[in-house]
Amino acid sequence: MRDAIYNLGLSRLKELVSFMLLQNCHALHERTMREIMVCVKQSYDVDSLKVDRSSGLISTLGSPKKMNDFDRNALEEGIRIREKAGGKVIAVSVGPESVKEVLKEALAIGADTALYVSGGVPADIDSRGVAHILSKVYSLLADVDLVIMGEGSVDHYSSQVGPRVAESLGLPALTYARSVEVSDTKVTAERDMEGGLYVTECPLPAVVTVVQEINQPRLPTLRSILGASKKEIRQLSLSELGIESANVNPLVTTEEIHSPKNERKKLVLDGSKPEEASSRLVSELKKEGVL
Amino acid sequence: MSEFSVICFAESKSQLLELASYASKLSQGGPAQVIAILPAGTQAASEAEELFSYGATKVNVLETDCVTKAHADCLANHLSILAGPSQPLILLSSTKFGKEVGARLAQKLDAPLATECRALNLTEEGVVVERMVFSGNGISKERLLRLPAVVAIQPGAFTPERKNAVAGSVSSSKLECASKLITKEIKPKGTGSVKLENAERIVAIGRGLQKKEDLAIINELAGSIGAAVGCSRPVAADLGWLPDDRWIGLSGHKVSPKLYIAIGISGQVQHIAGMRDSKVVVAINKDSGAPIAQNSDYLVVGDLYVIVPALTKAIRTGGSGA
Ligand SMILES: Cc1cc2nc3c(=O)[nH]c(=O)nc-3n(C[C@H](O)[C@H](O)[C@H](O)COP(=O)(O)OP(=O)(O)OC[C@H]3O[C@@H](n4cnc5c(N)ncnc54)[C@H](O)[C@@H]3O)c2cc1C
Ligand SMILES: Cc1cc2nc3c(=O)[nH]c(=O)nc-3n(C[C@H](O)[C@H](O)[C@H](O)COP(=O)(O)OP(=O)(O)OC[C@H]3O[C@@H](n4cnc5c(N)ncnc54)[C@H](O)[C@@H]3O)c2cc1C
Repeated sequence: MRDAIYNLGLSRLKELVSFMLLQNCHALHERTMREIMVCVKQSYDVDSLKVDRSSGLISTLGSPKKMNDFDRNALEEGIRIREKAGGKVIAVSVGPESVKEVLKEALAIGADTALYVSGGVPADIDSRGVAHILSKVYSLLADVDLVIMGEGSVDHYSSQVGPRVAESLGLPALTYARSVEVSDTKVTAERDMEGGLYVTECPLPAVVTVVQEINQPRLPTLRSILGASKKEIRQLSLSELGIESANVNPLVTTEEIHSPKNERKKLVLDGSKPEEASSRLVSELKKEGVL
Repeated sequence: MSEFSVICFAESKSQLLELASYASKLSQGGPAQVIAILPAGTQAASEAEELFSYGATKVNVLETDCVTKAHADCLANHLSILAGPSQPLILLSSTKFGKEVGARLAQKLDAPLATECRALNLTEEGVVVERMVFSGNGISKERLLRLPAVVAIQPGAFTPERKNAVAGSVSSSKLECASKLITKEIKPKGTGSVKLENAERIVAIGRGLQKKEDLAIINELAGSIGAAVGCSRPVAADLGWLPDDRWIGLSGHKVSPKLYIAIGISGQVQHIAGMRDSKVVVAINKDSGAPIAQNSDYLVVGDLYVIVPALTKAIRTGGSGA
């Protein structure tokens, strides 16, 4: 039985590979053509979480999800590069079946095709596992010149998936990009680091992670939403990607999440009498020992 | 947990002191060594001495331009060689560069990594960290299941403690940059004078300010109490009125001053994420319903253009008339 499933996976994999090879030949004829893999995460909507009043613990069970804000910028940048340099934008997501929703949105915004990895992905997968899966997808696609991600995700914000993918594929990474310029063989970015704006280049293929200031993401139009329904969303399982569970079982687990303590006094001073409010405030702050 | 060593790396000496000090507290009583990797500089010799008095047992002075150019691939490779088969705990500072080095290093070592940590404990079952999640709406406790492990700690999360200096060994190494990146130029961003993480008082301004020139009244208030000036993300990132190193929040600096005065800042969760640990929070906002109301000790409801000058005056005159 297990063999049967394995064989089934293998035949789908072969089919996929030949499909990709076809595209590859096409790419050889037109060298400007490049595939841009944009990674989009379905994050929790951080403003609608449920907190248990008595314990202060946060539960994600049934919480609404949405496209990670930074990935809108990543997608926008991918589309802009395609508009200038040609190629295809492939939106990729890892997670439960529901990630299809963010891919539909990505297609409506302007991605050409979409792919998600779902079957067999542990519910408590960590960033290492996600990076492993995305690296395998990159290798399978075989013609990706650029991988674009966000600087982090709004829920877990670990900022590690981009550089992990780069490391696992032996690719250079331009992180925290505030602007990106792509030519035939290389990519140049202005990296927004604490110490300044670093103008850095590297050869393609490469990984780029973007900050929010890089662009203003476009919104889908009615036409693009209708057009998107015709676009393809592929699904792959871990076994189809040849991924072993040891590489995706978590090495980091979350024990609990509680909402931060809020012990603020919340005193309101009426500012319509500015002098009075100010001197009252000054004397309070002196009592607190902070002035 | 049994015998293991801690390797610390940070771009700046002050961050490295925090890490070494933190590491030495973790391994108290144990035989573990604390190895600090110090980027070479003119002060390296005295900085190494200082590291010993904050808990380091070995200092390796590293000569490389990977750090100044922010080339993480090459540096991560070097650190992975230093880590060798010894399965250490590696502590980095959770700056943008630190997180990137950490991710590459963890990938190389097939190790767990936790970034943006505010606390770290060693337990029988592993390394347990505390970090911010959900854009600051939650604090999570996460367990790293095996060593080697990489942990990036928020700068300023821990105040280094001086110990009796124990003389340690100093070695030096040189790393030729073999990165695939070529950095052509580093454009300085204007930087403020005081580091926000170290400021005792911070006056922070948001989009309630109408034009850049009006920063004058903010600077005056800050001057009257010896405060550093910070801001919300849009003031730096979109408007460019203050340099980038002034913005506080989830994607900016995490600060914990004694006094934080938020002026014309609505108090969205991403901003709160950067200043939640402040001791006393004052807000000045014309909207009593702004979310900052829930996150402040004192909210003065009014027009900042009226309140700020009045407050500056009250401070200068010593608040008499209270
Ligand atoms: C409540 C909760 C608890 C969690 N606990 C842990 C934990 O303890 N340890 C842990 O490692 N992870 C944990 N995660 C899972 C975490 O969301 C995943 O590791 C994850 O998908 C990677 O996200 P990140 O925040 O690390 O990504 P980052 O590195 O911050 O994201 C950077 C970029 O990577 C890309 N990316 C990230 N994830 C995906 C994805 N799934 N699909 C496509 N692209 C992606 C996006 O382009 C994103 O902009 C938890 C998540 C939640 C919400
Ligand atoms: C992933 C992500 C990361 C982010 N990271 C950060 C971050 O690190 N830091 C950060 O700050 N933001 C961050 N943001 C943005 C954040 O969500 C808010 O948009 C931002 O903090 C709002 O800035 P503000 O309070 O200055 O402006 P607004 O929200 O526009 O608030 C202006 C306030 O000024 C008040 N006001 C107006 N005029 C006056 C007056 N004359 N007198 C008194 N009060 C007045 C208004 O009542 C209002 O409350 C992030 C967002 C995302 C999605």
